[in-house]
Amino acid sequence: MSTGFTDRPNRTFLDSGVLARLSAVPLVSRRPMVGGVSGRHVSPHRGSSVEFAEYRKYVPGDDLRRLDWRVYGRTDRHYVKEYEADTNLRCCLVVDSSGSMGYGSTGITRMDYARRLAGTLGFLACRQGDAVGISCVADTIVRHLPPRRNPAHLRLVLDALEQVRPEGTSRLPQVLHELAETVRQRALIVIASDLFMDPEELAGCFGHLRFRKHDVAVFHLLDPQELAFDFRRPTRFLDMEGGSPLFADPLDIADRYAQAMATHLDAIKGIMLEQGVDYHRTQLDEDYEKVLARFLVSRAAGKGLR
Amino acid sequence: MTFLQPWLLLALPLVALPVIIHLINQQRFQSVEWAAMRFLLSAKALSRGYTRLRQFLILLLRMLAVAAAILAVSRPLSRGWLAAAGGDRSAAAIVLLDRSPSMSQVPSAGRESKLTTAKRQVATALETLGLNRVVLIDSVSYQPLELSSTRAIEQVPASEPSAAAADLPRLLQAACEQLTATKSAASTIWICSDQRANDWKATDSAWSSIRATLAKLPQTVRVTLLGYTEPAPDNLSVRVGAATLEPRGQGWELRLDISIRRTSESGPSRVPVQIELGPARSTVDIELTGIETVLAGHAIPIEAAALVAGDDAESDQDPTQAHGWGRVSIPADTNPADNDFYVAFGTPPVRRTLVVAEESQAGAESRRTLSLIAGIPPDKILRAAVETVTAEALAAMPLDDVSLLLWQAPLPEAAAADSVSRFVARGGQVIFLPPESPISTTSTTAFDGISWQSWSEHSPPLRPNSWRADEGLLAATFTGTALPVGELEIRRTCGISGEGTPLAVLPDGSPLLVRAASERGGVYFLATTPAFRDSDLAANGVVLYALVQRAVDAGIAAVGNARQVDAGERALGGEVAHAVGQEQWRQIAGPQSASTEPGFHPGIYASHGRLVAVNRPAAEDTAAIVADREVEQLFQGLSFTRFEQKTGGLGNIVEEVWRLFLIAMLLALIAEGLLCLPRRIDRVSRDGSQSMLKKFTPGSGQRAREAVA
Repeated sequence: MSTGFTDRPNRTFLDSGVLARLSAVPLVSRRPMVGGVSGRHVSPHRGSSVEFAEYRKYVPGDDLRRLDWRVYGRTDRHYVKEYEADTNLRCCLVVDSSGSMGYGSTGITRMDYARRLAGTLGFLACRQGDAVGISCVADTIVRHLPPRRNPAHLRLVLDALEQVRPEGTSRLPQVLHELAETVRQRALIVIASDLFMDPEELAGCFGHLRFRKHDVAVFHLLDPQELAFDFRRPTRFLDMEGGSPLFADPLDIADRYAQAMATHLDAIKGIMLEQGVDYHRTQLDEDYEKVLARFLVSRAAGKGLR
Repeated sequence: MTFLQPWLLLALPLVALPVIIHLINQQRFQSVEWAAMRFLLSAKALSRGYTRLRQFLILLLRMLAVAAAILAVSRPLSRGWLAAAGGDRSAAAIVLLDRSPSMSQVPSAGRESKLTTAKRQVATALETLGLNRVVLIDSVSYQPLELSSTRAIEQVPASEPSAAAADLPRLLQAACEQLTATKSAASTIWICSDQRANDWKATDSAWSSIRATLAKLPQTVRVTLLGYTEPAPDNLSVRVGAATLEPRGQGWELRLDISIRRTSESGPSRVPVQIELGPARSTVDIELTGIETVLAGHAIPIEAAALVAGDDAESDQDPTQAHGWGRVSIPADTNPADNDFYVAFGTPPVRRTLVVAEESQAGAESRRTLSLIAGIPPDKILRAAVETVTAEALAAMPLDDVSLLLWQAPLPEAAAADSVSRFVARGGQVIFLPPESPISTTSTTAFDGISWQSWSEHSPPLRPNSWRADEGLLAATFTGTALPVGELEIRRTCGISGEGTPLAVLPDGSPLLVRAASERGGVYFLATTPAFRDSDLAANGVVLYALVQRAVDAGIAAVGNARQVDAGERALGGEVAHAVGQEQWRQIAGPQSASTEPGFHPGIYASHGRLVAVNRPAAEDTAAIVADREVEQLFQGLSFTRFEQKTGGLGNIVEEVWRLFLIAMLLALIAEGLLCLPRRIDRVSRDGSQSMLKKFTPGSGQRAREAVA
């Protein structure tokens, strides 16, 4: 059985210009993160940052250096001034590497697009001192690298992205359940997938991740042809995940196809809203820089959310 | 279905072209790697039934369109093999036209008569088939008439309605003679008739010889019957059974037996009958009961002046004899030909009987008896006259006013035989009685194929044990009482040889009274004489009196100065009158016709002071038709096709129907186009909804993506 990896590293999915431009916008978490070191993300604990949090009555044992003498002078009461604690982020990149990720009608495959999104995000996270890990998922976890802050670890992540090949069926829901259990601390989990699976199963695994207080972001990658279904001649459709081929006249089934697709997308969107997932439906002919910029800006705007 | 360009049907396999193209198109599919298979599977499962049905319908409609196009260019004809003759332009068509009064029927208001429809449809059919050689044989002249064009059928006088019954066997015999005379490669006999039983005479023995003749003809003969059997609802017909003129005071009184016959009992219950007698008109309402209602003895007083045949200046009749004519009419209905009945009436003529008896004792006895019986009229207002002559003197005597000839002498020969034949031909009656020496030693004489044999004695006397009581001279009376024929005692009879119809038979099988099988009838042979030695006909005189007076009644119809006859070739005196010249008869009343067939059209005809009312035969008033199965049996073994035609319909028998196929092709193409139209597809937008309603057309995917972007 092929492992799906090659030994020749290539960083064609990273664009230095895009990286430079996106570096101006920080990658922030929408939820408090629990990190080991100080960082730029909100922590659920109080700390010693410059960001004022609240006043609290002094209780014996508190450090007297944190007593606010000015308030004592005005009110003759002892208050302790508390500040936000900033910490670092664990960013888990989950890339669907099933066979369907190899589809692309605009000159770029869904896998390529996922590589660009995940590689760029990994680089940005590592650059701001966050831990980055990756999980490549097909019918099982093809490659799993846990998040680490070590910049050398980024190289392994990028290697994994470069070497992964789209093949096999997709078991993303089961893998997400596993990740929810294995990633013990709060993390930003970024998923890039076509989500061609049962919405009910996805609802279960996203609920699981939310229960574990992970910040989940999903890039739903769709090819324009999959939306337009623009075929003219009778066509034999070959299943990219190894299923039986299907012969059909597109003119006969276009309306039913569109109806099924719309129903699926509506269901996915409903689930994402319900589970509080940062959902981004993305078409492969969109510029990934814009997609990422929109992603980063939207998250930066929501900073402070606890 | 037949085609004028049948070779184009070789292109019919092209019908499979849409299927072949479809199969080729199926093989030209593209293979595409596809990720979103779950939606494809779902869509395919949902639309499988409809898609299959739609594809099947599309293919079917395309095949239909191709087939219709091929059939249209092949120039199809509407009626089966009729067009087969169309391929052979040299083929001849013989049209047998039934011109009987029943063909004038108009089944419903506003339509044309059956005869008009028949002529039009046949003319159109022959024109469509391109047949130029058309021969018309009509039911009046029975003579073939070569037409210059097919449309001439509608214009020639020989196709106008007549009052005479048709004789279908005779028409077909004329057609057989025509086919025998012409040697065309193929012929079609077109019969236009309403299949009336009295016209078709299905039991006539001539049918078998017609079948045999047609089967033996060297050329291919097809018989096509255009049957116009559509019944006429609520049709009434009027007829006058008897019109007797009797003196009444200073004037006269006309007694009419008017009968109204209707086709069904659902029509009106009363009908006004208008009686026109010269300038005088009267109307009588008749209450209808049952199918036939008879108003017997309807009396109409007439002024003596009205009886003078004003336009009959050439009258040379006895001035004491009065006569006149009139018309009895009912309101217009579905058959205009049976709404009028012409009546000619006059004082009864003298019942003149001529007795020819040989010079012998028995002859003298018979002469006395016969003269006595013939000289007593059955009614006091009637007059009778009996004259006795010898056979030799007969040839020089005029027989114009004689009703009955009683001939008890050797059968007539030479000039006498010719005189008797002419007498019979014009309607006179002859009863031959056996002479004393029936067998001549010099020659064997016969009349109408019947001759006398030798005498034979019967001891004890024989009594007739069977006789025709239903018709003929020995028929039962009007009240149903049989004549006492069985009480006669026949002591001596003379043998009768020849073909005839026995009306009374003795127990030993020998005939007592025979009617000669002549065409006209009216010739009887009585096997005994009224002499006492031969029979008790004189003593038991009822039978002999009835026999003689009935013969006089039958013969007087041709003698009176006013009589009513059935339309036909014998209406105005038979072949003799035709041979002498028709111009002697003038029509003084009745519908004018362009044809020169005086005896075949209803009306009053006058000649030399005699009036003849010509009307349709009584059988024309009955609506009985020959069943289709019976008609097919009549043409068994022949190429025969029957078409039921609707009267007044605009449709033709044969017409090109390529327009229908062209329309079918267009409809099929339109339906196919509608089925091929792409259904409205709700495209999936970026946000996953189906808000963008766009037609699925090539290139729309690109526009959709642009819209999403």
